[in-house]
Amino acid sequence: MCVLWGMSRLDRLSMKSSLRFIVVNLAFLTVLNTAAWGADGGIHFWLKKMQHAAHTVNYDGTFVYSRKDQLSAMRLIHRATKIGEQERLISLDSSGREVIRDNKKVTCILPDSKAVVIEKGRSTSQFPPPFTSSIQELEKYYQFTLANQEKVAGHLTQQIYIQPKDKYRYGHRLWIDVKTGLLLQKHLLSESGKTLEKFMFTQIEYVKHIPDALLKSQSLHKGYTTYEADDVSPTQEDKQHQWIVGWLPAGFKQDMKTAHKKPLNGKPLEHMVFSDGLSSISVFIEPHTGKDNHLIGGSSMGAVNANGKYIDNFNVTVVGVVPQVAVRKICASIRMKKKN
Amino acid sequence: MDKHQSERLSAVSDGEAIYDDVMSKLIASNSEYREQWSRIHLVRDVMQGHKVSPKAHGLSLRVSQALENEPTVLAPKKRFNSQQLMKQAGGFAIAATIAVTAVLTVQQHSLSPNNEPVTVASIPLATNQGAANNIHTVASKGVMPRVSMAVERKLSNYIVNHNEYSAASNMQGMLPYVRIVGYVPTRQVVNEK
Repeated sequence: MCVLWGMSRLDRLSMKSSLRFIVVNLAFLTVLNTAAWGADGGIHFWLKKMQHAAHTVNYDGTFVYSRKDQLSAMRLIHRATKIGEQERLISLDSSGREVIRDNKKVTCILPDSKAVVIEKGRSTSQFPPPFTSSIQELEKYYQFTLANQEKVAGHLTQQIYIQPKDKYRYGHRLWIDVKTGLLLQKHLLSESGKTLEKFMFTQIEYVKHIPDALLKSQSLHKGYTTYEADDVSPTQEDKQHQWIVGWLPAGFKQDMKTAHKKPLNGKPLEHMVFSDGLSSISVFIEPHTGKDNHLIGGSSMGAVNANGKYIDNFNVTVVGVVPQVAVRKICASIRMKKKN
Repeated sequence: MDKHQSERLSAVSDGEAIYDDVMSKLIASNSEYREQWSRIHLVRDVMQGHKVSPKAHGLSLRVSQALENEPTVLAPKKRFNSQQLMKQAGGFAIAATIAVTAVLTVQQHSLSPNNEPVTVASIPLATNQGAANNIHTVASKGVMPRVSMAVERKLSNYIVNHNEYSAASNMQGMLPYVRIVGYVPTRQVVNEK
């Protein structure tokens, strides 16, 4: 009102008209936003469709994955049948690495280390899982926006921007196939909107039937060492110490806590995972062995950040696909509560 | 790898520079340049939507590497050992451990403040809480130290394990494994303030 006081009537009418225009538009945008969430073609619709497609669509595609100065090309084959899902991921470069996954186990073939690694006990619910939080819950920490439709690998896609509302998580940009719902392209974005990681299908074929042969490794495994891990069976937790994570970004909850022994050296290790449903961090705690192999302070590798410290005779490391400021604050807040 | 030569290799691949004798000798004489040359062409083919056979690109490179590394032998030797089987305790993602152990043989780089890769001498990491100050001091002198190989190895295990266990990485099922299959880590210590 104070601003309106010194104005001419014409100015005031003009201002009132502008305000009315803004209010009407805001109401219109709110309706649009509500529609964007709920109805067909809304954000919720697309994210649900994407989740469903990841479990149900048969495809054989080639994609590139890049981060910073690194670029890799891979082939991904996915088959969904009544008895479950199977996937095969093959490196197209000289390493010859591949990963084959079904409902019961994950097999990693690593020719550069002459190893075949078989891991059992990854449950089907993790393959791939739904968002751990509801979209409405995520909306407290991220801004979801429907963007333009554009073509990726010759297929029309719907773009969705996911922008964090604070500095403790990264943003995402998704390209979802309009027809099938498959995620064809994904960018991970820094706080300033810079792309940190890219994943993009360059060619994809949707097929009704995928023959068994395409889901089997063609590599010879003679002379390879086979490493086999049984079901994930947590070891006894350390009863003497209890760890307190004093600070987490808003919305982060504990997803998993397990104590296990590290393979190859058999040392006990406590691993906690915290997630807001879209971003996540891990806390690793293990007794100090006296070796100079523990990270003190911060380290980063592309979008992945880590921060480490010592507490008494323990090594504490926080790792996550979140900005460095988040892992640093979390790491600083971790303390030990001794049990009696 | 020399940054100038590496950029020149990319420029030749993009048709922005000429493939001359110097370039030919460079690629022929150095396995790292051959690897990059092969990778550039692979990614270019993939980006153009061509179907690429995993063996088409890898095989020629593997053959040339094998030839390069193969000593002259006058007597035939036993090629393969019988397959070994190692049982591991479950829990920690062992694929990550094995993959990363292999991957870590690559050359490491650090970055200068203007993000130019530089080669730095290995700087020992102190084992007490004052180490963070050491990192800061060295970093503030203009060159960021790289973490030691032992730290790198342990951290890489943590990172890949985090990827495997975290739900957030699993927007599409295989994405965590993408980081194993196409993984060549280079990392620098963050200058903390």
